[in-house]
Amino acid sequence: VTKRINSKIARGSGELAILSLLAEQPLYGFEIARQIGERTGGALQFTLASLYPLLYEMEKRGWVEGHWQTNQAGRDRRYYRLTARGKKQLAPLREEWRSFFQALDSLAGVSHA
Amino acid sequence: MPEPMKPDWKQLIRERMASPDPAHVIAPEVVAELATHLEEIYEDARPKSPTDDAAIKFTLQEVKNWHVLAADIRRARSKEDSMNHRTKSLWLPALVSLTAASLFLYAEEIVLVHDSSFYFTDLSLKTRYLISGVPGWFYFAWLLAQVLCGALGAFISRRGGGTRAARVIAGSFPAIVMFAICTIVIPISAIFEHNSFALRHPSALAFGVMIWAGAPALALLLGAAPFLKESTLQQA
Repeated sequence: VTKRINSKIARGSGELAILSLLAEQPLYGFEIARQIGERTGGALQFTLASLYPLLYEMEKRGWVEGHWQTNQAGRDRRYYRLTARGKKQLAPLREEWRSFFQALDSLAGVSHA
Repeated sequence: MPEPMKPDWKQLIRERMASPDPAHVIAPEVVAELATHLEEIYEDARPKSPTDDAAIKFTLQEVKNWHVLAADIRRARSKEDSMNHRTKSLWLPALVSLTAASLFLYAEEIVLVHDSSFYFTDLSLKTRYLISGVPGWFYFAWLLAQVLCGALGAFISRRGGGTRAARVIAGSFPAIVMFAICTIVIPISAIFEHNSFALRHPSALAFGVMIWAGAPALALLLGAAPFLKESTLQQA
């Protein structure tokens, strides 16, 4: 059973999680939240209240851009895709988190905990 | 089987994220996007829930505080940074209530009290002024004015999207400043200036704290109180 991660840690890692998902394909908000929950075994979970402020913030920084699209059932959804600036952010963010985990590991031995 | 009554998610979002300030109205495209998200959660939850009400309740658990979400979205979409938000919701209203409280006192002292030998600070040294006489009346008039100052600070803070804590601080800021002056600035300056009167009469200082910080704090909070609640629309 995967333990759900504290919301503050989850929020900090949110940018990397969203950029990584959108690097694969454009997704809409509900699908982003669903995939993050599913692919982390429920450890990372985003609610509407935690997801959208982050998405809008990332959109303001120019990392992602949203566009409305209507599906076959006639439902309008706002899809987000990675921009060139967002793609540039992904590698340094990954590196930053890698360094963070290495530092935490050397301090607290988290990888074998 | 009859089709269950589905909530109007857009209407629900508009009501719960409503703000008395027209500048804070959430953009229709945001309302539409959030409504779509809630709709999808509801549709996902419906087959797994014993009743439709349970599915709606589950869906609404996505947002604990709509007022906070509205503020977070406004901040995320605005060009301003969080520092500006803090200025708007805390420091500016706090400064306004402090200025209003100080100006009222200054105006009373300059315009109404023609005796140039009298200072309002004398009230904490000559307690008889509080019981009788014109200075006592002016003090109580100033105290009453604090209700308006507290209301002003809390109102501006709420308009700026301030949290309840920010509204309390902004509303009671004049009393906070006076408390700091009476308990930190005056004792330190008395020590450095070898002010024997102040050092020998701590009770005068304690009385000063009571009449310049304690009583005004109550009056300020009384004025701020109506603005500490969420707006009626937000509670709907």
